[in-house]
Amino acid sequence: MRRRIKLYILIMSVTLLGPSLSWAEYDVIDITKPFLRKIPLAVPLFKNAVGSGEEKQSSQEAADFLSDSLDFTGYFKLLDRGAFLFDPETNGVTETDLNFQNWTVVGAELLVTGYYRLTGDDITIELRLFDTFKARRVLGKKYTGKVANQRDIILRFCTEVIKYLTGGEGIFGSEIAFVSNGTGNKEIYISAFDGYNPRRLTTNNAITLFPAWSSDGKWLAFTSYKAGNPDLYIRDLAKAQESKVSKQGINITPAWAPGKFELAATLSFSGDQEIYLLTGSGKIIKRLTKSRGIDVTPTWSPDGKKIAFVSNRSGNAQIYIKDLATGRVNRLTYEGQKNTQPSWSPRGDKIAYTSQMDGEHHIFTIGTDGQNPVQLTYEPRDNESPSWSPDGSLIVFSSDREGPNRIYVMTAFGTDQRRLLVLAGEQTNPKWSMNHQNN
Amino acid sequence: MPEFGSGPRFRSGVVNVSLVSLPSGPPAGGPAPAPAKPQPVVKKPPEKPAVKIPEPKPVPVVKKPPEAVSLAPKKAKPKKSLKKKTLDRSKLIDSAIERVEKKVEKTETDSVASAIEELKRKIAASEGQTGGGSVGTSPQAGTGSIGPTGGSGSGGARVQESILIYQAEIQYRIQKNWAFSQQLAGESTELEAILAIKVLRNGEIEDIWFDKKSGNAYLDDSAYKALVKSNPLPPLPTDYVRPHYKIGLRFGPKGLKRE
Repeated sequence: MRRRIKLYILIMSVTLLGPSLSWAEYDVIDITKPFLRKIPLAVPLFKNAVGSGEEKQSSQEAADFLSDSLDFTGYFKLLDRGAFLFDPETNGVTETDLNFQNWTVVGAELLVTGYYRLTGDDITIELRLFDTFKARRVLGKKYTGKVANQRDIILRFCTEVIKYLTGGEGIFGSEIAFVSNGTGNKEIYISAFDGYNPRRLTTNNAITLFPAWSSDGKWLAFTSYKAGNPDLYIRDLAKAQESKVSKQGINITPAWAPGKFELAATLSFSGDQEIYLLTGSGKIIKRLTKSRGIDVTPTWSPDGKKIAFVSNRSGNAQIYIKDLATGRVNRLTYEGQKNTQPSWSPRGDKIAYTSQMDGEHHIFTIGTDGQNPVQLTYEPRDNESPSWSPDGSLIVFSSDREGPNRIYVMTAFGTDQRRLLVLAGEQTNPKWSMNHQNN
Repeated sequence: MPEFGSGPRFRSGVVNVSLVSLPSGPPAGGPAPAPAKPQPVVKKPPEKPAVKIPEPKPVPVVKKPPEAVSLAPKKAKPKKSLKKKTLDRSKLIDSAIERVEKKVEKTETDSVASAIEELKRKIAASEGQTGGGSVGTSPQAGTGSIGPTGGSGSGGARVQESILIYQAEIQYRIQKNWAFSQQLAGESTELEAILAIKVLRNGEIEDIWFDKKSGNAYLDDSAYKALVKSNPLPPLPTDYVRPHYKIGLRFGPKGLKRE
């Protein structure tokens, strides 16, 4: 009897989900739950031209780095090389030489092959992307350069792969600025998007906070106490020159207007924390907020027409959106005791923020219409300072889930949370740049 | 004023890029494995399914003879009463009597002889079907009433039921083979693609076609690939006698988001 009931339920659920009455010719069943929420991708070792020991090692590093970099995006499931019916020593890597059934049978939907030559310190790498089910090459590039540029070469191809799949520029030309206190003072550091090559930018020997990238990546604004007062500094990264905004009171939380040499920042010289629009050299253009109490941490909509910011005008800290043309202000967040640190997605549709709940901080996203707040982090205790990747697919944030505060990355859906890097001291306040690296 | 946005993305000179000349092979020219055949549908060796899918054997539940013999004065005993002990027995009986009375009223006008004739015809028809005769349109009609509850005497209930079980099996199988990144496809959950397949008796997918493209090439592609990967499907139910079976699959990322 029990079995029978189960069967009934099974049958009923199939019919309920399934047959579309309008499809008269045959039943239609619904397929709504993909087993794998990523694209299965195979990156076998590259084929080597010379076969020397150095070449093999360098070639394997290149293949591994390509695999890791594509994995970083969260779009792919990298398949285990052990399962491949492929030997780069004997098998060819071009369309005519590949047996695509050997790849479809292991579940690969995409395949990247490489042909690698190392002579002296020169490298030549041919990289190809295949759609295995269509048995077709969809990308093919040949790169020549110095072995020291191998990382750049691989990332250039990765950008091509992402461009093929999404039409966008991806993330491989971006960097992440963050605050680290490894030297005993909070200073600003910069690393590549994947945590590679972290380097200290400021040597202020004083608390330095709130890094903010200009859209072209040439300028970084931040707040530092190096002159005793929390002043705002705007640094030309190439020339290492700074201009300074040093009004009475605090000068904090800068945010560059998209595509402009202007930035919004919070200044308190009026006696009240208000948001102002400044030129890139630090001159006040106009005041953007006007309300008693705190107005801080502006973040721009990608079209530059609105800002979201934090205000305590309703009693506790909540996020508001101001339309700069009409001057109209709307409250965005209602759930949670305190909602702060808004970051507007480069795709424009969502705002990530930090919400205080039961003594912990967690990262949420919410539609810019105030709909559908979604909690992305659950790990105790504090997850803060979300900042979007330039393509809006990933979010960088800080978390003390493993003890000290460190920098983590997750997808915009909150999946694939991982630590970005390990440095001495604690790391906080990450800010993801747009794509500006010459990789 | 710094240049924004449109600056040269890549430094030139350090790295030279050119399109790989194709289809010239790699310089080393490894021996080519069998070139890929044109493959409308890739035939795979029947892989070991990660989870064993129950064979579509004629389902034990269906054992009872089709209720084709439903005759005029029906037995007033709805199946529900077996499951639901809380049912009000007296009410049931009342309604049953009422129905019997109605039937009787109706049959009064008919000649008894023609009623018996009708009954004989129905029985004959149902026997023909269980004997493996032509199933007629029922499996293709598909969306009709479900076998056991139907009981209307139209026959085909049993085949219908095993097809429904088969549908559940292939739904499971195809879903297992569907790799789809919502992150890549974008936020829209409204997308849907409808593909149809023609399955041969041995489970081989003979044909795949689109009934409706989603407008999102990535979703369309991933759906197509899921079907190719699912080939071959389990064999058709043994009591399904037609040489092939057509079914549509509606692929849509409804309610995916994060999980």
